[in-house]
Amino acid sequence: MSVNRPWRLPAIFFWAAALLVLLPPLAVFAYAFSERWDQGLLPQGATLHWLAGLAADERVRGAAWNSVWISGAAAALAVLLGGGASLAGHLASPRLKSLLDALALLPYAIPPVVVAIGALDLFVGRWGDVLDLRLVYVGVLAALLFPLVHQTLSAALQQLDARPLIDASRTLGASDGLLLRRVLLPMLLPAFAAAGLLAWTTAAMEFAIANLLLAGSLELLQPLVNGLRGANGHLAAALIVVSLAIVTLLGILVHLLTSWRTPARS
Amino acid sequence: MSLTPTRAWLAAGPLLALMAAALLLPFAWRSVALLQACMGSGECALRELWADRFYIDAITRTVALSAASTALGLVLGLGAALHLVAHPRWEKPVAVLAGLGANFAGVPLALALTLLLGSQGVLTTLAQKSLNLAGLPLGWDLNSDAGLLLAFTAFQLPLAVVLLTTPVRMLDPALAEAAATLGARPATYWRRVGLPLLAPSLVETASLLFANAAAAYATPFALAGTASPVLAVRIAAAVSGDIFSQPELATALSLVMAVLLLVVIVGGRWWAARLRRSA
Repeated sequence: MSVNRPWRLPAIFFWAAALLVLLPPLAVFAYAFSERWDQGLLPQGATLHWLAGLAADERVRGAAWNSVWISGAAAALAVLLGGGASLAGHLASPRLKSLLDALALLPYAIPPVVVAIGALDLFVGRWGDVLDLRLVYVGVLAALLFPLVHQTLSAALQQLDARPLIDASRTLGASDGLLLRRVLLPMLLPAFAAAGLLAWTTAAMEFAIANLLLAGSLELLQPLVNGLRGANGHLAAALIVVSLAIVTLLGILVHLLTSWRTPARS
Repeated sequence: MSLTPTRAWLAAGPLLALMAAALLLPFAWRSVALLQACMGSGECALRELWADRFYIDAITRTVALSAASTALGLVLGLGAALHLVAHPRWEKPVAVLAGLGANFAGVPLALALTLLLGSQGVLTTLAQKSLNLAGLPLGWDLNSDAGLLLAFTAFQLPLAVVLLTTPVRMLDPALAEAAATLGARPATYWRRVGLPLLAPSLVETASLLFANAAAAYATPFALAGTASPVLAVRIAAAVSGDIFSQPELATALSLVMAVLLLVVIVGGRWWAARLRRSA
């Protein structure tokens, strides 16, 4: 075997991976915009019928609105509490920062299903009379979103290298509050926005807890899509296409925000 | 005002309270009650669990499925990351695609796979027709272990590529060039130089991928409903099942799941740190 022959294995793996990741969304896309897809390899009869059906459907509109506001509330809570804690840990207490790093792994060890059945028992079964179910969902979801917020902000803070800024402002006699308000928070604004959007889109696509905790009381998008699959697959596909288009656009925005101010490496 | 460590802890207070109340309290509450029952002489759901083949099967299946999808994700992801670093023009589309893939897991993925590979799926029908010509039966079932493995690999891949691209980019290309100049084949370079250098990142990525797969609920549930044989669906079915509720059993299963995930994540970090130190 010649040494100079280009090594093809990575290219093969790259395209295999691309196929496996691309083919499922393409199939859903094709199904959402076609009359039928049961004869042969390609779908038949291009149509916007299902897309129009979504807008007219009262249930879809209701679930979409519920998902938008409840995931927005969870994301806002995660950014407010998690962002504050992350910032404080980075700037003033290495011990707090290592605790937060460890806490950010907690949602991996206690996965959504386990959280959901625990919450169902304690917050609904025992304290259900005093606790609002929607509030429980927002709180639990915000806790699960903390790793996203912490990782996004940690990356930004590391890049920002806040230490010299803090030292300089203290030498000049400025209070830390002033530094935070006038320098650090404005510089971190893109990172906060990125963390918020990322948390929001992730929360809006959440299924496990919504299905176990809110079933029967508040309908959200993902459980609705799952229910629709059996009744009208085309409509479910159209709903997936619309929500993924929005989520992907917001994702591109996150990508732009996180690469903000990153000096180009030459 | 100056930012002292005390003030930092105060600022983090609400978050720490939220994490404790939302994640630790409900889990610990049930687990402590369960362990108390097991320490005493009363009925112990953990002991019942070990006696029941059905749940042992769910646990071993989940472990095997997670391990296999992690291995596939790691190999394909590493190859894709290598290609990506060598061809930077694909970086932007891949970033968008990885984001799409991350959000596509669960119900959308299940719908897509049913359309493509379900019993009436496009590709299944096509394969059936061509096999019928040759007089062969088609032994494919999306709800089989192979189908689940395909679904799991599909949602592991975007994560694997995202996690592996950075460490691969840090690898010094001069090493590969030097190895090639000295006459080493790519395989030799990777066995002797590349993989040992990447080992800590590979271990860390593998532990995250394993945890991601073992915790997956939406995809297997959307594919096969409460009949799905994986641990996460069994846990949920034990409390919201079709027949009757078995909260102690659900607690026992979640304890098994949490211990499994904790061992994998902490073990992975510890092993990666050891590899980094010895490198």
